[in-house]
Amino acid sequence: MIWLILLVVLCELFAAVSQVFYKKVVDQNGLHHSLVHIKDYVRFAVGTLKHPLAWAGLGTMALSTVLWLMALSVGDLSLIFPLGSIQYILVLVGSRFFLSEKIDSMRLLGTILITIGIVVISVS
Amino acid sequence: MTDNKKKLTLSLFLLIMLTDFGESLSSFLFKKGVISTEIFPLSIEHIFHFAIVNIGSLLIWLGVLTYLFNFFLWMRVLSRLDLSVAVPVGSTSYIMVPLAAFLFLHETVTPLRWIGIFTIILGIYFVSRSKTTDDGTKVPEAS
Repeated sequence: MIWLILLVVLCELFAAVSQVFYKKVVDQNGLHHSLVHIKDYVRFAVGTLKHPLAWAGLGTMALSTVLWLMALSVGDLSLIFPLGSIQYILVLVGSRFFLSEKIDSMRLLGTILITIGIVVISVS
Repeated sequence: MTDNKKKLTLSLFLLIMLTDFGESLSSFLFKKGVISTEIFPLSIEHIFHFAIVNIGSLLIWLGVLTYLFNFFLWMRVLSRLDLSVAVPVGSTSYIMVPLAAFLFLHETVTPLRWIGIFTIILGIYFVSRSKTTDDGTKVPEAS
């Protein structure tokens, strides 16, 4: 039981880390321009794949997926699915401390509501 | 970062929903495409055999392509929004499935589940109305 919880938390932690990596890639590459021509799209894709953190992100996401499948194969789904919603909290924390995003009360409240909503849906 | 306000526009919202759909689609293709599931007990031989057999599956490759395409879509989303906005808004996938089942399959949705659905919608609304991280353009300060 405690191992299952740890497994799911670890899985969601990896997923959140992966998202932070992805965001760092687009921020550092400055890939926020409008994409108009095919050339822009190619440059966007190549720029993304050239960044080491994109691969770190894909790797951690793969690890997260493996852990998730492991959890699903051994554990109680009615525990795993609600627990999975902590990813939203972890991403919020990661965005605040590693990406310096501004989290105002609206965003905090909204994220908490979403987390609660997912828990409610998963247990109903 | 001049004329790119990090605002959640309708097109970005739809793009996020598209990435959610793409993620489900790639999972579905992987699941359908798996030829051999004999990977347990985990050992080098088993993993090797698992990989060799499944590499011939067309659906697996379609799944990989879908995943890769979806990855770029998601990076595009992230390039226009705060991570702490894009990820919560991605939770629409949790409400689309029960809503579609209700609308098109006429399945009953329990009251508790309705509560969950509306809580998520409210949460997404709040997140979308929150101030964006300063990118040098907008965000009027109250004080």
